[in-house]
Amino acid sequence: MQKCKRCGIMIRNPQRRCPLCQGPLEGEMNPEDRMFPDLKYNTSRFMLVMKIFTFVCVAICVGAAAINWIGGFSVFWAGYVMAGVLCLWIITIVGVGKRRNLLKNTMWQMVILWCVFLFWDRATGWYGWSLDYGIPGVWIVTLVVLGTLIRILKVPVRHYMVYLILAFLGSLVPAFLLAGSLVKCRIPSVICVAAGVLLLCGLAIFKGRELAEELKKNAHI
Amino acid sequence: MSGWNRSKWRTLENTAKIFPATSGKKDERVFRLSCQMTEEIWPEKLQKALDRCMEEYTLFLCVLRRGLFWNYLEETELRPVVREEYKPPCSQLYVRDQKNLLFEVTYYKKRINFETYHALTDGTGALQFVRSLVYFYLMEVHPEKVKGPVSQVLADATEEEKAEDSFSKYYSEEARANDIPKYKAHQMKYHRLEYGGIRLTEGIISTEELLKTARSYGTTITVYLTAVFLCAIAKDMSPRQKKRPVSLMIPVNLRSYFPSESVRNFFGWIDIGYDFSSGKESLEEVIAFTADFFKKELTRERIAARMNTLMRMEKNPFMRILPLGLKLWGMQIGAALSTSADTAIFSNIGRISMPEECKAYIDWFDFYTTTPKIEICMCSWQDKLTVNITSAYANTKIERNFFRILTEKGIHVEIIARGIEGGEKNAEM
Repeated sequence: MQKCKRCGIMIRNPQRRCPLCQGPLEGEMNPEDRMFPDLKYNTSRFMLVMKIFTFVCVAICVGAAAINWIGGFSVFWAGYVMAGVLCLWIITIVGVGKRRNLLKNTMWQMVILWCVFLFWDRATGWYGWSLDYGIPGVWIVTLVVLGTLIRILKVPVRHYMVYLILAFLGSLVPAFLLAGSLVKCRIPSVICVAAGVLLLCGLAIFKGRELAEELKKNAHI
Repeated sequence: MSGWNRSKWRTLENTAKIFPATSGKKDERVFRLSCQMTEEIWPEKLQKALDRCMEEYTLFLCVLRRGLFWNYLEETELRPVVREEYKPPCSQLYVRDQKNLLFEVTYYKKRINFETYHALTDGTGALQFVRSLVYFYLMEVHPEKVKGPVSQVLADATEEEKAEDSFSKYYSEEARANDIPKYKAHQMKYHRLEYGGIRLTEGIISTEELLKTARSYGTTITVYLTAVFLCAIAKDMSPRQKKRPVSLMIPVNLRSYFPSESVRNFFGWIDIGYDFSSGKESLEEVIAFTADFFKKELTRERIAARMNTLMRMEKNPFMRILPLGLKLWGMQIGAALSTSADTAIFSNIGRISMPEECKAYIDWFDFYTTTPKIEICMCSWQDKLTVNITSAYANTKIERNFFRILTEKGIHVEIIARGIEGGEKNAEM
């Protein structure tokens, strides 16, 4: 065992200097006395990749603005580039941040895509395509993705139940749009609402107990 | 994996609710209890012992999930697998969105480690588990010597009693107190280690020697070491800094005051603040104050009053209907605001007992945790008392002061140190 005279302590695992006062030690270092494996805290390479991605996004925005400026500002097209990059950035960051739970990720992407479509529709003259086709379309794709993921990953009922309930709640959005007469082309929205109602009924009929259980678990106050 | 099984789930206990909100790189809220044996560990036998242990502690087999209003723990089919130590002590266990077990059993040379996320259980629950695990392990390795009965290390409790939320059981509206001391305590402004890293300095001390020294001051080991810790912190403070008290957060095992066999969280805490500006800086004076403070505060009534304050917060209807996301924010803000209440943490799980036949095979026990500041965790086994100091600060002044106060009294101290670089490179940081 090594010894630090100044601190008056014996040292069990090999050290180059006194772990208390950083002074010199007496006695030999015996590597066999090691009490811990040599493990380091890993520095996150992943964070670095995300930072590079963010920087590239910023660079594209700055570059677009600069070129726009050189060419004169008669049309501010760089604004569209920036908005596009921002949308892409948000979708990617959320997608990567929620990578550990793909079902949750899918629900997030649905809501974000709704917002993105609404924003672009608004920004390009408000023709209403986001309400007519965007929102119901994204909802249907979400449902398909959820179903596929649940099949492929063999997700147990109690893990996927909450996302199907959320998917049903999502179908209420086109229902409200229909009720408020905000859509011009009704077919996609009606399909959505019908599918949503069927989804809920299916859950209640085939997985009624799990549905009740999930609601109780999730909503306990 | 049958999806048709009705899954079991439970809510988090009162003080455990804060952990999912505040655990992160700065403090993973993980603690480790380990047992140093006298012989090298056999992984296969340890795995067998662990499997056996899981039959007794089924409620540890759960994952943490998010509900609309609260987090909850849900039963899982996952089973723990023994591994050789593969990451630094007390690394992240709870990963958001990932459904994994909240504890882990690893080994290294002669040591068995049990690490757990604090939301799963507290020190007492973990100790109960480790005692069973070590006993089952010794039954595998030395069947001729360690024969049972296993009831020696298992609580005399039903599955329900072990899974009881004792906070709800003992909560009452009546017990209140308005004079619970609160401090705006001195905060150490040392450079911090890189986020996520903790440095461990462990001292192994003879229980007998320490008891003698404590007796010479007319007090107990706990009071004595608490006072030594206060003095170790005060030693490097400037007169300006001393205008603020040094305050220690001391976790309290509520089972000592409210009978419970629960292996879930059931702990509270008291804050003890000492004002070093008064000129009363000698160890004797600090000991006298600490002994008095403990005598006054560590009573069932005072502990109940503290517990009920926390419970009232949880039961507050406004708090309850906030969606989980907002709640977590609120708890984070609350935690950030109350961080100045303490300078450091002092946690003691006391004397560990094991059946007679195990004594030849156990060298000592360790107990330590992640911390955003500096924390002492202590426990004792036979004549070996271990004081484990984990620190988020880059310098080792407090550790040095603490152990030097002991060695100056002639107490023998053996040190085991681990820096964030691991192994023996500690001193070069």
